[in-house]
Amino acid sequence: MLLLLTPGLVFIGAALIWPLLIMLRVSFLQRFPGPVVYTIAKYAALLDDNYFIDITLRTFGLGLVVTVATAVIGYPVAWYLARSPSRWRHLVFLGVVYPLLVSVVVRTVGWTILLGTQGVINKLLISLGIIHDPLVLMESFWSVAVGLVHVLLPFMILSIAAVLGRIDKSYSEAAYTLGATPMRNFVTVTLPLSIEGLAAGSVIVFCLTIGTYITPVWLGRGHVTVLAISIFDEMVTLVDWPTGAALGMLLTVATLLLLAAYGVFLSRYTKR
Amino acid sequence: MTPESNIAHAFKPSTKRRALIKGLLAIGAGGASLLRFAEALADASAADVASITILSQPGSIPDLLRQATFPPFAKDYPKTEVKLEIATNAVGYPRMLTQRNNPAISGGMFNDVFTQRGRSDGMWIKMDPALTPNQKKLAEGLSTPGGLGFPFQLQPFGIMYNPDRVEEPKSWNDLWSDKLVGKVVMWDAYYDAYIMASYIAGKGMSVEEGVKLWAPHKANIGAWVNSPVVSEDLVSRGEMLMAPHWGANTMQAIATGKKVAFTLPKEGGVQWTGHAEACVGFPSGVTELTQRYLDIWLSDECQMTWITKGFFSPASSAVSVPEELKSNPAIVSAEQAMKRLIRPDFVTIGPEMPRLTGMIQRTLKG
Repeated sequence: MLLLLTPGLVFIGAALIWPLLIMLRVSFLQRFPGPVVYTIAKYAALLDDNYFIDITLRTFGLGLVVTVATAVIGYPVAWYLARSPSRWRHLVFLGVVYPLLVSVVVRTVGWTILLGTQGVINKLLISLGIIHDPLVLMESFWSVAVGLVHVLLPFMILSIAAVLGRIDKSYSEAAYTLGATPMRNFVTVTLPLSIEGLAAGSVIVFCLTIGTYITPVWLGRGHVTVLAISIFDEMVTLVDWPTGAALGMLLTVATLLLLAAYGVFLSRYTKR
Repeated sequence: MTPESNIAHAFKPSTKRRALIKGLLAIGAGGASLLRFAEALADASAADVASITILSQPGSIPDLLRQATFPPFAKDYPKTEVKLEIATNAVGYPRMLTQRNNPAISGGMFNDVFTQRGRSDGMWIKMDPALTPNQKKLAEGLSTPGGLGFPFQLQPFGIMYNPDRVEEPKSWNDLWSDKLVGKVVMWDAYYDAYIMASYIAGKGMSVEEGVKLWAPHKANIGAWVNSPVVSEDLVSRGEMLMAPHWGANTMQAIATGKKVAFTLPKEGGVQWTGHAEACVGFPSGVTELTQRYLDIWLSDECQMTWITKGFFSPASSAVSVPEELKSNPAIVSAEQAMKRLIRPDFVTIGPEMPRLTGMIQRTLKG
């Protein structure tokens, strides 16, 4: 068994663990490249600087908003895919999966055609006489959130649909037999049974959101700085690798804590 | 022997040990040869160099280089290929810095800010006048102090605008107009707009003062970019209407069909100098060929190509701007540059880049 695991372990070790350890070391250096002097000053600066605190809060706030939005929008679609007897179900499935075949860069840039000052929405509103000057629909937190919901919705839908499809329909039927209304049936029977799918989808969407780069860059036009953009600025533009590494460790630790919480939730929930 | 005993024999420990020892001896012998080969490679003469890699700005510059510099270089050094690494300084230089122990780029073109950053980071070598004889043609006062590189082109930094959507700006203060809320493109890695704001307010060429002057008008900033091409695209499409920008870059964008125009406001602009730099950390042969290649950038033919195809102003005094281009606002003569363009102290600004960019991010982007 160990022999079978070795190639995978070597790859993960070389491609994931080793770079993480290097990043951890660099985050404690005063300067890189340069003389080796260890310090916690970079971490102290991050915790003390309102600029980085704002960026961190904005990043996790974005994660929360996008996760909730994809859950609310995605659950009915997942329900349809898993439960509907309609013959158009497969087309809807294709519609959900198809965007994943297109690069996220292309999909994000495509939003400019809709939201730009010379975009479709503004041109339509101006031609209808509703507005005279174009609205600024990009360059904001919410335009970035909309773009991310569009990009990450398939992940939420597929996660929920996978679990919904495995739920025995006889549970719902039994609830109906015992007098439950459709709403009560959903809240007390179906939703609790599908919580694992919702949790899995939420973790995936949240982790991808807090690490996203191209969508905030393009739709935010420099006005919505999130952790990934700040890490790029520190590493590439300012060549301050220790600060960039410290930000990277912050993001990594937050993601690992979330995964750990998910693991604990899952193990307690399945025991019930 | 039976097949089974053949197999068993093949995997007998003693056979494995002998094979292992033979392998180790071979590696030892090979390793010594490899070491001698590496030492020989390090001392390889220019005639043995297979290729040199040069950092080039994006846009139309790579094509200009291929057209004007590759043929004369290939004529003298047919065995050496010139490879172009295409990237803006803001993206390419940090990469070079982190690769300095194992560099790939042996030379390239750098603006004033990154030239000085490279100088303080110890990235450049001193040019050998014997390998770069065209330096003698440099206009007076243009030589790079200390001999670390040389200037090969000039251009003014002014304002790019969309001529179909706005009128030509007459002053740098027009960027603060109420009509331009959310319509101006800005940089956090280049500081000329802030320097001009400070200069015309009488506070000297100070980036910090300029950022403070921009703070009340930050609502006018619609997009932050790290690429001249993105800035040109935003203004051309009408998403943005004005952008502090380089003259030659604007003219190159116009030549590709973009709807942009360039102007030097009444207060003037900033003089930008393109510097040719050769990098440390290469064998002597590579360093020699890099300098010889960069010297071609100052040849009469190449200087004329910079002017006519790139719309740059010449650094060489041996070349004159053609009559038909003298009225082009992006091309300035030495006399015009003296009168209308300021020269910030990039020696001080370059190394301060991390602090200044951080200040801009906190003051104007927050």
